[in-house]
Amino acid sequence: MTDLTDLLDSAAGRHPAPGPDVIRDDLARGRRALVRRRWTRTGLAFSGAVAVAVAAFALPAALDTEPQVHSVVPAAGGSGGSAADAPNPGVDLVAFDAGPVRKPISPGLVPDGWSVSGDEFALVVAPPGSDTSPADYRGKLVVYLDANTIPNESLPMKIAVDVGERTGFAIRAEPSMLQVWVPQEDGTALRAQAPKSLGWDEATLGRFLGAVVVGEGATAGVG
Amino acid sequence: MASGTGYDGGRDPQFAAFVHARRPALLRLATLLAAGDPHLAEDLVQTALTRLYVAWWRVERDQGPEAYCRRILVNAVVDERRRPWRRSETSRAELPEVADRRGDRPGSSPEDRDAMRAALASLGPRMRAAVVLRHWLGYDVAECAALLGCSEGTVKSQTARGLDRLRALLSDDLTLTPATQTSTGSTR
Repeated sequence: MTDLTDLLDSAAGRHPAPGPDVIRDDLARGRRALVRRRWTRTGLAFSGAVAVAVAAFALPAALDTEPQVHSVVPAAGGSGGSAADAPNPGVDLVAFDAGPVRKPISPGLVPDGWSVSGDEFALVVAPPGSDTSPADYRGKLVVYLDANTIPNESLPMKIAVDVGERTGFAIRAEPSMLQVWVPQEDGTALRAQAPKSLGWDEATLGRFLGAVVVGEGATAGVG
Repeated sequence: MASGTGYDGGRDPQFAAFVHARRPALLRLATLLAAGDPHLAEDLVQTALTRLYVAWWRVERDQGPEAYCRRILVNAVVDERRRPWRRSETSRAELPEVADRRGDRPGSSPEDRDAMRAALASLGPRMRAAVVLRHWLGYDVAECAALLGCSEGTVKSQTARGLDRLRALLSDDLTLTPATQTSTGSTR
């Protein structure tokens, strides 16, 4: 007599436990897939925003070869100071204690009561009570490095936003979110997007982004 | 997830621990589903693990990584649109040549293994998956039907026909010892 289960067991073969190289490769494939998926969710939205912005400013650009720079005006009050001095509409920013081990993309400030997660690809800050996957960016504050920078020259009218001591730029095309990005020294772009439900303006998002620390372990996504 | 004080544990260490513990078992299942094709089995496992990594938090919360990977493996084999073929299948007019095992003593010799793999290759993907799920992983008919996305009657008929063919190829007195239901932590 021949037992089917025994035969199947034999046919399944014997496979040793995976070594570090195999696990590392599995991790790398997963990370790449995760970045691709995030880009399909947020990168496309961002690309759409850029396309709309370019289209909206194409005619003025054709008529005026000197790019204009517009500064973000604080939402209320203020005396024209920097974004850091701007009033903070909506949820207050509070200092974030990253603890002894700082993650690759780490915030210096977070909305009061919001939760922080993330990996080397993105910083994700979720509102209180959020129970969705960290990979789901909807309704969350997200910061990520983008290897595909958008040349400033492609946006004739630049909406300047103070990002710490640097100058960043806002994209105004997506009605449900704020988007600010700032060029990095290595040629990548650090991008932040925030849901309008936060009640922030771009100056506040710039202030938040200016406090973000990008460590050596951060990895830029490629759309 | 912490609030204002730190990060969650991250998916990487949990995923790596799962891969270390369960990759061999997934590869064994994939080997059967792929009828012994080691390259396809590896492709299937890589595909399943990649999708698992992306969906880690949801999978952890809902069904568990092992069950998720099994579903991916089975779906990839049954649904050719999801199959990560490196090369196209070759259809044959006749059954593959299989060593006649009738009269031999059971065992786990290379000949037994090769004969079983060749016999599995003669089954269609869905039939093969039904046999493996029922008689190797120990799934009941309802679980099989849910995983294969078909009726329980289809599972019964596919399994019965699959066993008939295996008996014809391998041994007339092929016995069916009820397989132990295996979940995470099992050796399979």
